[in-house]
Amino acid sequence: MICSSGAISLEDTEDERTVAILLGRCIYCGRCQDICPEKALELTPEFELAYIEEEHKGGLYVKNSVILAKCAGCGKSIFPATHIVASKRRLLENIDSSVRDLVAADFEIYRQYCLDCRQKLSFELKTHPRKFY
Amino acid sequence: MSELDLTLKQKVRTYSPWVFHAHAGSCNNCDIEIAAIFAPRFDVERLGIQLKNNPRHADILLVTGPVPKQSKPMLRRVYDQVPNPKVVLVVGTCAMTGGIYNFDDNRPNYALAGPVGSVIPVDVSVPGCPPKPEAIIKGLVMAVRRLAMR
Repeated sequence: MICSSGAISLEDTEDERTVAILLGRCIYCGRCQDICPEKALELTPEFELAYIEEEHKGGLYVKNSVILAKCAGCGKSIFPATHIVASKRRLLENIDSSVRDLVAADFEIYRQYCLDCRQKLSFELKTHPRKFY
Repeated sequence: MSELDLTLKQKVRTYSPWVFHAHAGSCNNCDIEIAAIFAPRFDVERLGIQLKNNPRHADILLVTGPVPKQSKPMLRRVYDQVPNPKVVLVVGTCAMTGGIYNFDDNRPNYALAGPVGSVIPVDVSVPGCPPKPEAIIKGLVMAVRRLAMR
């Protein structure tokens, strides 16, 4: 994991993923900001973070929740829905224009399934057989 | 809460609180920032806050560092020596959670006696590695308010 001080934690529930940054652990190095491809994290000039311990039992957190998409095959939660949209956009940006339509069609099928179901249903899905892209 | 709501006893407590700095295994980065706030540039003596060398004279106990096992009894003793009413101000990531010295709470560092909160009761925390001097000053002001309410 990128966070050198263990401040960032992920917690998955049934249909939600919560990303929490514990300010009591964060050393404000900014590596998460550098590495984040979606520019979701940003350091701010706000620094007066002192707090009274009784008012924030268990530490001061910055939290964000995203909804997890469900697998169409087995019904388990897979990646966050926003992650799927972002990876599709990035995939289509970086690929050669000659196969872009093919990849987009395949991705629309693959995005509905988890990794295990993709393996099991590899014949039924009828995606492109030769992965030259 | 405004100045007028304070009783006389509470008001005199805010007048000139003295600080004792307990160093519990800090890497010296927070200590440099604390030296900066008592130096002329950030100068907390304009708020009446002075750095004292004796815990028996102090009102605010300022602790830095992740508290190694070696310095746990000393920190406990210094805390007992500060007369009541007292406020504990914890500065820096290490003192709050162990920081980079205690990466994972499930696999605690063998050399640490836990963060400051597990050795003495903590009142005000200032996160940062190190916190900016302005952030420490804000923590000190919160600690002074809390001292008045004791």
